This record gives sequence, C-alpha cells and structure tokens, in this order.
Amino acid sequence: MEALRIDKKEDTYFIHLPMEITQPLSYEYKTQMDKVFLSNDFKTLVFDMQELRGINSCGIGFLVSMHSKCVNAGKRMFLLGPEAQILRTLELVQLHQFFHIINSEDELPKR
Amino acid sequence: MQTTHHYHLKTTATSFASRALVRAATDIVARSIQDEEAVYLCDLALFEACTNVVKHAYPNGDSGELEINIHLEYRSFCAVEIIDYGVGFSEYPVRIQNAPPEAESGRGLFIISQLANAISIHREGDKNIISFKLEIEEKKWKRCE
Repeated sequence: MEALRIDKKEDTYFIHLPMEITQPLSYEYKTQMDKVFLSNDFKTLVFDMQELRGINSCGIGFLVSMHSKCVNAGKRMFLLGPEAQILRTLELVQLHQFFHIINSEDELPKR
Repeated sequence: MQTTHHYHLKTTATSFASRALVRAATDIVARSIQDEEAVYLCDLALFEACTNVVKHAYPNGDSGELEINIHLEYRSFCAVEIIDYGVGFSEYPVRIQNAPPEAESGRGLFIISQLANAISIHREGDKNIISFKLEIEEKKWKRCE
C-alpha cells in the first residue's frame, strides 16, 4: 500500500494526497499521520490536493479527522488546490466552509 | 438502433475488489456518456454505495457477494442497483441525512441522495438493494454508433 508523501518546510508539513483515497488507504494514512502529530514539531498542516482527482466519503472522513486533530492540538490546517469536482463534493456535504481552502502556497499565513 | 442496455457485474465484497468493480461499471457508463462530470458523479455514487456494502454488509470478516446492475436508457438516464446478501439496514425506510461537520463517517448515502434524481434502499428476501437513478441530459450522451 502506498504511503503518503510528506515534505516539511520550516514549521509546515505538506502532505501530498494521491489520486484517490479509498477506505483502507484512509486507515493507513491516519496511522501515518499519528506519527506526525506525535512529533509535535510543526504549526501548520497543508494537504496538497493537486493530484487528487476525486473525493468520496472515506477521503472526506480522513480530512475531517485530521481537522479535529489539528484543532485539538492547536495547529492550523489548509487544503491546497482542490479541483472543481472535489470542491463540489465538499459543497454537497456542506463542508466547503468548514475547511480552509487555498489555491497556492502564497496564501499561507506568513507566521 | 438499440437504446436500452443492461449490464450485470459481480465480485466479492472486499475493498479492493469492489473498487475494481466500480471502475468496470464506470467504464461501461463512460462508453455511452461523453460528459466527464456526469461520469465522475456516477462513479462517486457507485463508489459510495459499494463502500457501504464493504463496510457494513459482511461484518466479522465474513465474505459475501457484491453485485451491480446497470440500466442505461440512451439519452435519458442511468439506473443502478447495488446488491448484497449480508446484514441489512437496521430499519426501513432508511433515514438519509448529512453527518455533522465533525463526524468522520456517515456521509455516503447522503452523497448518493444528493447526486441522484431518485434513491431507494430496500430488502427483497435475502437481498439488500441500494438503487438510484441519474437523469442525464441528452447532450451529455455520446452519439449512438
């Protein structure tokens, strides 16, 4: 099973999501992200959605769980560059305003 | 010119096999429909219904079957049935509602209900059936060969 690709720039982790998040992948990714949260060496998580081609309830559940963890840990979370059909799916479940969505890294807060 | 097509697909209800089955079903739909968004939405609805079966129909590691019936009515609609022979829903009619924002699950059926023009969830004998219908505008269909 393919692991999440994760990069770190200063105090920000960039998590590069694959083309699709299925149910077993979402479990795998949560385990992988637990280690990131345990490290506690960051202020911001950015989920790079530029390769993601669609999202279903499993993928949405994964993002909601990451959001809850960020809120509880006092971290910030952003979704970077989702395609129109992903935005539409988030709208469908009324979560388009729940997440902070940005189109480029330039929109990240400087501090 | 034939304007109605029926397809029946079947596999075991595992996560991997069900995704492969949904892809096969979506490929069938994409042979008739040219509009990419309509095909994507059909794939999403199919994926949600099949994921529901994989997550809930066969608990405790039981294995079981997952079937998809597709009815394509050219230049009109795509009707789909997702069938399993496992544990049914706890009550009928099934109440479909969106999950609260903080909930990590419970959105699958709601997504289908938002995409489809009609949805039905029922039990017939030992079969659990999720069926939905997507009406698709005439211009979104490929030209009949």
